[in-house]
Amino acid sequence: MKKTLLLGLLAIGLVGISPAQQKKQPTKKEAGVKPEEVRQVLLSGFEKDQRFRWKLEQDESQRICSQYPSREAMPAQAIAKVIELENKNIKYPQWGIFWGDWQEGKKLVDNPRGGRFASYGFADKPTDRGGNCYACHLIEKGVPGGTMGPQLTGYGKRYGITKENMNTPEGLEKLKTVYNIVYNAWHAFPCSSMPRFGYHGVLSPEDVMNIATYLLHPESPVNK
Amino acid sequence: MRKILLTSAVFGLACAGLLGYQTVKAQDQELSPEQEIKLVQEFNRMMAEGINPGEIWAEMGKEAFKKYNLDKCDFGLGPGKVEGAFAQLPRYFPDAKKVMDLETRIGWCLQQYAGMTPEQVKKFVQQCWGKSQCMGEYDAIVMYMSMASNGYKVNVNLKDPQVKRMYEMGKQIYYARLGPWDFNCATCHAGQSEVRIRATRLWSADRPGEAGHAVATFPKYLVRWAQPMTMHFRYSECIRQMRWSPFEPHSDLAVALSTFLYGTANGTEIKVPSIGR
Amino acid sequence: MAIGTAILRVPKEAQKGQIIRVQMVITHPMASRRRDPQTGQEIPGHFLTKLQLFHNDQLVSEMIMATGISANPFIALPLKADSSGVIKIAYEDNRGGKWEKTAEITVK
Repeated sequence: MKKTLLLGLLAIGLVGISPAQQKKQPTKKEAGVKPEEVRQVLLSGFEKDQRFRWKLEQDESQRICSQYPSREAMPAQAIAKVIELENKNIKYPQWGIFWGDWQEGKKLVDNPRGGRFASYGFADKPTDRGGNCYACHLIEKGVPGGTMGPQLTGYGKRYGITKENMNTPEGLEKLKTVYNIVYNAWHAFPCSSMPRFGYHGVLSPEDVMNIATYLLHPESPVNK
Repeated sequence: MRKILLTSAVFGLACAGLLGYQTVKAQDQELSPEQEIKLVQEFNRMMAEGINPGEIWAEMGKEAFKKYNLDKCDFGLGPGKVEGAFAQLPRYFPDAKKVMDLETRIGWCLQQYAGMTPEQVKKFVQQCWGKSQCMGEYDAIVMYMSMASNGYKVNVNLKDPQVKRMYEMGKQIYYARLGPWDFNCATCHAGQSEVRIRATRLWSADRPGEAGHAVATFPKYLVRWAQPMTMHFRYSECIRQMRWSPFEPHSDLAVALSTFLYGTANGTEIKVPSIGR
Repeated sequence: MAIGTAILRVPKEAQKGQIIRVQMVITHPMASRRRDPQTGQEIPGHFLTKLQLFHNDQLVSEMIMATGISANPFIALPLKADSSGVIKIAYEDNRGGKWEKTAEITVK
């Protein structure tokens, strides 16, 4: 009697575990289409222009993030894997962490151009560089922006950075935290909508330093 | 006669005065981003009244349709049958052995019945991309065919295994992160919370009905370019904004995306064209 | 389609004394006068200048337009319907183009 009960519980337990495992990978399991086929169809959609083929390579983190519709749907191991991979992908400027030029940072934050190519009009110049930050964030007071990312108005003030404490080790540590987020957002927010600007070379380490300064410096219009 | 002239003059003046007052009032004070966005949305709503200039392209399209022998083309309901054809696309076509959406099918039929090569078709499709006030025949044909299904409900047959396969591919591509900005379609067009990019509210595939509303109203007449924007041009522009590699119109990628989007839109009433900034 | 073609829409039937909306869309670039930024040469504008609405050959409304109006303008004018007949719009632009379009209306 006890044995059958135990066996029965075990069977229910096993049956209970497998659907849970299936739910972890919703798009892949229900699909019935193989990743190679999807990749073929994806590649067929782009012009044969060899200049931009490099854009079509997926790195490991992108591959992991592609399997889930959002971070909420991701299992803990996948999240941990992306964090681990991305923490290795942060580079600092030659001079380390320093307070850069917030006016240069402002130019990059305001500029929506850079990286968009098309064979008909509208292509950006190859020398255009920018972060297009207002597409997703509200940064300076009164300037229209998007609501996809958190509001950054008064960011430095909220972080408690003042002229007195900005050059202390704690102040520089805060600057480093923001630098890390702008350089490689996925190291702290895996599979975030925010691009990994520094990692992909869209912005250089000095650019990211200027942007972080723009967000945190007490003199910057963000904090006025 | 004088009375009529006077009434219409007063009416016109009143309208102009009201609009003028509103604009002057708006310029007087500093508007917050939310207020500016409300004005933009009000503008969009006002533009949706009246006749859509896109209908001019539909009239052009009727002639271009015959000019390129597209009345021989079978869009799924028999050769030359145009009413309601757009509503059941994308679908599988046994003569081409592929799933095709409206624009891909037009491109295929142009090759079959109008003697165009694939390069000529591509040039024909892209003749108005990047231009303003361009009276393109391709846009006209797409507008004509789409408007012929006004009032019908989107009815993609997801039970057909080929169509279902394309639907699943489109879904996976929707979530595939790619490119130097790590974007996918879901970066902007997914999620439960209502977000906007700058001043534009974004529709989401996860909120019911929004994908249908966005997709069953294409081609969309754009006031800033004074011409309609077809679905494949919209894909090309989205792909350009995502910093992906430049898009090839009428490719399988487009068909997969169309199948996913129109499949999600099943049941929405078609109301073409819509109008936007 | 050539510049200057129009879609004109009026209700087919109206009650006597009812104010109807005469709606139209005219294909026109409505380009303003401007200078070429590279050469400094002046590019004359190309825009509609006048629109007249006739009801049975009686002038009802006249609209003077300039570059402030957007391309492919949609215009709606009110008209008090008092007799059946022909509604005609006549419009011209600053490069000498002159066009007309008519529609019929029955008034009960």
